[in-house]
Amino acid sequence: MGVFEDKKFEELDWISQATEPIDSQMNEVLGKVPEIVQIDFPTYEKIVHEGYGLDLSLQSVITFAIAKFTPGNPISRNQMNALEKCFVLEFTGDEIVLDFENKTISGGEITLVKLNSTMDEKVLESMLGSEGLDMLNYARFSGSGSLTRTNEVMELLGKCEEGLKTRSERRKRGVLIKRLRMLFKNNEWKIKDTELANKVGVWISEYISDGNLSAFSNFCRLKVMTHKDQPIYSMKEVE
Amino acid sequence: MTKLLDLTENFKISRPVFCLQLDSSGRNIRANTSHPKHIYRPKPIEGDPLSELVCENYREVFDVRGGHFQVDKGEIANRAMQQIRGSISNFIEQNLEMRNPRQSKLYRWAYRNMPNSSEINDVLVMVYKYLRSFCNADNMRGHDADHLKNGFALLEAIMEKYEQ
Repeated sequence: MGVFEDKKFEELDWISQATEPIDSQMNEVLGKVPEIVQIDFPTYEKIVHEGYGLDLSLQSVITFAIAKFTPGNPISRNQMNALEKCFVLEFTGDEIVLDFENKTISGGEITLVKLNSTMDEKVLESMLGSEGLDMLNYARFSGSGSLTRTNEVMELLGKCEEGLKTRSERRKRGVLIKRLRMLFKNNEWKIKDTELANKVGVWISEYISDGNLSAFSNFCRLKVMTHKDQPIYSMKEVE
Repeated sequence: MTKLLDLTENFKISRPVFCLQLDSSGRNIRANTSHPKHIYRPKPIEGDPLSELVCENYREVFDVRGGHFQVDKGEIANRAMQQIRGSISNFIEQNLEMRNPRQSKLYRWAYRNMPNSSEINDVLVMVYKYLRSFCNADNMRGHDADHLKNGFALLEAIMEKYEQ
């Protein structure tokens, strides 16, 4: 049974095993960013140097804070949209003045305030598998044997009769994406980790477009794990 | 053009100090770079139409990386020059006593075929200065018949000289 072990689930305390919360790298990132981050002049200057103008957006400040406090954690567009709801920019003071001559911010303080320490479960649920689906949208379905491979994947996913009947590449892709969207929406496979859920679409697109067998093997392993009807937090992947 | 460039020589820049504003959603901080706290705008020499024109075209741009404002004096002079060339076509259209001045040879030359060399530009700057001495600044409509006659004679002479 070693191949189908879910180490992460086994390591969870009994309360977590009972409540089955969704695990996400974003919670880790959110936890590492302090409750309040002060934006002083050097920080302001550094952030605006990354962009084009002198205005500061919440996204650019969050990107800066994440890069500073949790380096090596690239954040996707979807994740950033979700993270934006967890922060707000605040001013203290009547008139905040940005002075490039004296290199100071005076008249008050600018701060990035964290509103939540963990991501809302519903937000994480809605994000399950979304990045993998994006990848599937742009995957190449026209290589030799890719239609056969698409059929194999659809047979494993089930409820794809319409896609199995057609020979149209475009329609097959449409059915596949629709099925996966439904699968994640209802969380039929009980995947409780956003990164693992995102990998599903990636594995499928790698197998269909390039015939990557290790990707297909991972997909099959995950599918076997769903038969236990238990929440899935992690799996042993084939490299 | 040289005259216009000379007028830009003493132009200064605004100090790079900005009042920051946070929008109500708490998602954006705005530093209005077109309205710094200590804004500099050049003051034209009273009664000098060229100085007025050059000051009107003053534009400074904030260099985020350098952290200071900068002005491109050549660009300001160029913009003023383009305005002068446009004003000359406008002068002909407004003052030439024809049913349709746009059909005149002078207008078509001024509008389409006027050369763009530094020599003629210097001449046009002086002509513009003269035209503005008796024309309304907004629409280049002249008030003095003798001056108008002179103005057209000058433009026709310039056209003849530069057409060849």
